[in-house]
Amino acid sequence: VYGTSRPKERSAVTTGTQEARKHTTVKTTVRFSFSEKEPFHHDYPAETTVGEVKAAAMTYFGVQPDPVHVFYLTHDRVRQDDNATLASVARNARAVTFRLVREIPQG
Amino acid sequence: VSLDVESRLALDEDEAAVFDFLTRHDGAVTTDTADAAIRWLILHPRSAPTTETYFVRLRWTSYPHAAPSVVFATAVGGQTGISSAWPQIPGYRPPHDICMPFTAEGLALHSEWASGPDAWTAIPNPYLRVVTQLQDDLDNRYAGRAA
Repeated sequence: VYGTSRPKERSAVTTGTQEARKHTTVKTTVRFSFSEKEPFHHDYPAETTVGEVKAAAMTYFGVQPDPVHVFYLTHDRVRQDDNATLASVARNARAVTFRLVREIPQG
Repeated sequence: VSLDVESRLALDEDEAAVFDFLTRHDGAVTTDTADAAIRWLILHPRSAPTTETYFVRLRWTSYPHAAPSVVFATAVGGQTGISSAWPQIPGYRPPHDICMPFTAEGLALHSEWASGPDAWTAIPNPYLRVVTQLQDDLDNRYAGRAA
C-alpha cells in the first residue's frame, strides 16, 4: 500500500508546484511593425518589469537604443512605464501582448 | 510631375511588399491614372478598423532617392488641405504636412535630419518604410480624427 501511494503523493506535489509556477509566469508577446521577424515570445516571472521585456525584445528585433529615438511598449494602445511589472499590466491574465513603439523625431 | 523611368520601375518593384503589408492591415494601395508619381493609400487605425478610413497621397519625385510628399485627402483622388481628412498624431500637422523625417515636407524644414539615424536612405525598400511608419503611427499614436 505504501509503495503504491507514494508515487501519487509525489505526483500531487509536482502538479501543485507546476500550478503555482504557472500562476507566477506570464506568457509575453511583443510585436514590432518595423521588423520582418515573427513576434517575440517568452515566459517571464510576473515580477519582471516592462523595461526588462522591452530590452529583450529590442535585442531580438535587432534594434539598438540610441539618443535620437524613444522606444517604449504599449498594451491595449496605452504606453507602459518601464518600471511597471508584468503582474500589474496583465492583472489576472496569464498572457500579455505588447507592441514595441519607436518614436522618431518630429518638428 | 513626371517620374523618370528608373523611378517608375523601382517603385513598381517595391510595391509588391507594400501591397502585402497593407493587405495584412486591411489597407490598400492604388495607382493614379493621371500621374505615375502618385500612389493613394487607404489606411485604418487599429483602434477603429471598420469605422475610420484615411486616404493618403504619396507623391514621389525620385524613387528611391528622395522622400515623398505625404498628405491626407478626402478620398482616393480627393481634395487635400482638409483638416478633417487628417488623423491627430504627434508630428502630423493638419491640413498641411507631416513634420517628420520620412516626408519631403519634414526634410525640407529640418536640414539636420539629412544626416544621422533618420537620414533618408534608398535601401531597403523606402516605400515600405514610409507606409509602415504611417500604419504604425495610426496604430500606436493615434488620438482620433482632426477637427
